[in-house]
Amino acid sequence: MPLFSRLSSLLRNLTRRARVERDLDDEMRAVVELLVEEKIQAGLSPDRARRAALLELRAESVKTQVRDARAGAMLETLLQDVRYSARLLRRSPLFAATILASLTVGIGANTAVFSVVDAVLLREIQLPQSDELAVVWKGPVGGKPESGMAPATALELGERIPTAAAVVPFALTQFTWQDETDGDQVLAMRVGASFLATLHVRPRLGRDFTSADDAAGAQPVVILGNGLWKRRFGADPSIVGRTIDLNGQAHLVVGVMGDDFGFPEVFGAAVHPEIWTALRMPPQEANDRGARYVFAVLRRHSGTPWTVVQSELDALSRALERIQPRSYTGQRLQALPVYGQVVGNVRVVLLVLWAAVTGVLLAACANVGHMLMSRATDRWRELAIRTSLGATRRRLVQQLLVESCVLGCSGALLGFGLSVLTLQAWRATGVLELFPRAQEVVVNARVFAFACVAGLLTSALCGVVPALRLVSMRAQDALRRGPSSTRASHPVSALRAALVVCQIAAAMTLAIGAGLLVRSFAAVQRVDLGFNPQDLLTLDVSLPRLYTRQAANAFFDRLHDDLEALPQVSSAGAMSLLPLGRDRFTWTFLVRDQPLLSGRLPIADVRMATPGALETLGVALRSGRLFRATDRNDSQPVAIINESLARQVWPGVDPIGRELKLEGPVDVLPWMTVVGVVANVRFGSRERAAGPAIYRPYSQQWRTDMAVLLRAKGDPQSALVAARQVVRSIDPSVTSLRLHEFSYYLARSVAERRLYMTMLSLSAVITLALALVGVYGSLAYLVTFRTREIGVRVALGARRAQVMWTVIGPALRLTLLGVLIGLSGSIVTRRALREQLFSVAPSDPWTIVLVSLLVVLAAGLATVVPARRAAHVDPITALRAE
Amino acid sequence: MARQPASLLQGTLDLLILKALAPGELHGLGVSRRIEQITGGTFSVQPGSLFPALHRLEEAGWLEAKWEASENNRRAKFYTLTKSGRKQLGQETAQWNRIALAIARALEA
Repeated sequence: MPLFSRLSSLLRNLTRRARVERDLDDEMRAVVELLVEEKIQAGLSPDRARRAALLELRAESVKTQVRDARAGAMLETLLQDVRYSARLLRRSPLFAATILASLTVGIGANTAVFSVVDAVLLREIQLPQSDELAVVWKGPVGGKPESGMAPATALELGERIPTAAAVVPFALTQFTWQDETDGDQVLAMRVGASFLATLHVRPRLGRDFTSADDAAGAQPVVILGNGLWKRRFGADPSIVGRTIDLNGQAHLVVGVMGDDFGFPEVFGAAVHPEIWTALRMPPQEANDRGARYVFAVLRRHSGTPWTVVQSELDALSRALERIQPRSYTGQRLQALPVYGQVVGNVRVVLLVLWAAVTGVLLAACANVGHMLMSRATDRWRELAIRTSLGATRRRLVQQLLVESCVLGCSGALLGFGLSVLTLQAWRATGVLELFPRAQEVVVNARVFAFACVAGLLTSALCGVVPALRLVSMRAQDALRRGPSSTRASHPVSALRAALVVCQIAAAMTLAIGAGLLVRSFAAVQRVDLGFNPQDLLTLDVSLPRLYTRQAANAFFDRLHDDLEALPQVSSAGAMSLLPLGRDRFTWTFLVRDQPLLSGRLPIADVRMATPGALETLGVALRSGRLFRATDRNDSQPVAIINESLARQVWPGVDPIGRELKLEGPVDVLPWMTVVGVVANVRFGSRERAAGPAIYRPYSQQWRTDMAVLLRAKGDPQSALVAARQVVRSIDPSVTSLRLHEFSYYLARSVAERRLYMTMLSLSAVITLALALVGVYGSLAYLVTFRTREIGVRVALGARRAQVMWTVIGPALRLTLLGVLIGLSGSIVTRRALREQLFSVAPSDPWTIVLVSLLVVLAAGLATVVPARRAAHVDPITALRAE
Repeated sequence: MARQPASLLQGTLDLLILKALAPGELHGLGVSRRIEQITGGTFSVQPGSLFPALHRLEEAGWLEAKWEASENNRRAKFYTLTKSGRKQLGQETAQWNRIALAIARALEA
């Protein structure tokens, strides 16, 4: 049908309602005139005739009745169409099943994957005017920011950055929660009094912090996050005004935040604070210029560019460099806009996943379109007969539309069911387990609606347009000659071929991305962590605040002995932080008799360890010795270093017996003698190679929070329970937290990677499957369509292989074209995924070759059945069928 | 006529309209007059029944409507039977004959 008449028919339908109304008015007016004329002829005066005519007709009530009758008739034909469609679909179950399966998988997978992506990764920043917010960090000039700044620097930042609308310091801290039965730890933020005001938010219940809360000696106050409030206090509003016990200190709850508030995740998904407390810095802390744990939220005036803010921070950094050259040489303060940081971290991966699920949906739509188009060609005869029997064009369109909608709606419904089931399965199998918000993931209504509209539109367009195209050719012709000789389907088959190529290309692009992620995942799993995670168990203990150095040492000495006495434990120890834990503790250090090379102090991970800790962890000793019970507070200060530090500071020299010290007052942080060198342990993440690390004996540098390490013999769970009993039997006031087999931390360290990999692989597999259905469908159709031609060829003596090749050949050409397009398309995917790759090049030849082979092979398999069918065409039956 | 059961009424009216239009096109009022004429004045169809029926039949695809000049040169909407309308008339006539026969027999018994 030419474009113009198609458009005009569309317009006619849109304007139909108004036209019918106008027509009805005209008809009534005409009838009145006719009646009047009749009555005049019967001898009435014109006036009386008109009055009588109006009385007899009562046009308004007739019009209402006509409208009702029309609507009733339409509803009736609609129901008739629905019944007819259902009957038709039941008659061709394979066709209906393929379309339904494609729609179901397309809509279901798209919805499930995107619901997860949206809930877990696509964290919208819900703060008002968040584009004006930045966080101030410290880091090397020209490099990524690494840390916060010293409390004294952060406190005076406001005065030094006059162009900022507000600057408020904050720091992260842990609160340990102790009640009768159990303990828990919550991530908290210590914030300046105007913190929430600067973010333009207010507590939902209670009040905001005031500057009085921030004074050094004020009563500790907290504002609770909504999730915590619901979880621990059952959303009890009377919590405001009560005191709760945190870190052994009473805190007054002054407010509760609304459920839409969360601090932007500038520190990554895991850092999700749930309590806010006033800074309340004691003078000693407020004057500290050496530490690096305080950050600041900065709000610019709207209209002030970030470059202006940053140039002020640069000026300040240079001023600080003059006063504190050790801390600020080559370093600067940087304002990182919150938006770019939060969204920037995951944006590329999001885009890839979004493209992937959209690819799935499009592949599904392509299949649907393609099946419906084939069918339209098949139904040619039926439609032609109905046209010649007087069915109007509108009637046929309605019928075809209803048919498409019956398919589309059933597909949408099944897709919804599938997405719900998929989400449930993911929850049950633990794919989502390690994401804080994953338990709340539900089917995302917007995504579902989008997928449904796409599915319905496709089925409507592909179900109606091609059929009409055929009908618009003269019905007589159709009946006489049939479709096989009219070549009417040729444009449609070109479109079909294009669809198949696109499907293969999409599957190819996704599969290469997925392949790279799978290889990276495998490589990450193979990384040498520097310790042995097998049978390793951990629990965190937190000593009450009143513990002294002596008491703490006595506690850990006894804990070590009692734990090793357990039958389920072969060795035990404690260390200040776990490897692969999310927390780092780094410190600058000095080396005896060595000038500063870069003008700036080197940085190392610092860990406190009890005797037995490094042994339990299974860290290899390279030279010297590990810690012993004889390393006491009053004995010589000692340290163990890792190979990375040894290589960096004493290359080619034996470090044993050399001295280094952590930066700080020498009475607290004395010069230490190196007594041992151990293998590198990956502390931060699996991906990052270990930097310099210093281990200190717990007896010489103590703290209240430690991770207890156990090497289990036998059942790990019973060992953990027994270990908790031991902790309680030594001191019931000590909290044990987070009892885990180390495999938990192993899984957590790859959780995000695993999620990306799972989602992308799933999308790739489904797209490939849909593409194969497409290949199969189009070939099966081709074979049916050309049965006669094939029959003639066979009759003329073509061999089976030749016949099969006429089917496989074009399919193979399409597949290869799709693979080539997919390969060039994958350049974009590969570039986008670069940050996610680990020890695999974006152009990894193995992945590319394997995936290409796989796709070609799979497509080849899809051609086998139709090709065999073609080969077995019986020429006599084929020719008689016409 | 007003006392007759609605279903019978509707069926009868449709049949009469189709029959009235069988010889050729008529406008709405003309259909009404033709029915009066062919039933010998037994049925007088009111506009309130006639026009909804005409539109219903048009919607079902049995009638087609177009605007034309009437006998005394006024514009009027003329209805004609479509192919499927003609088929429908045949079916309904047969149906009606069966029912009429059955009822006549029932009453004779």
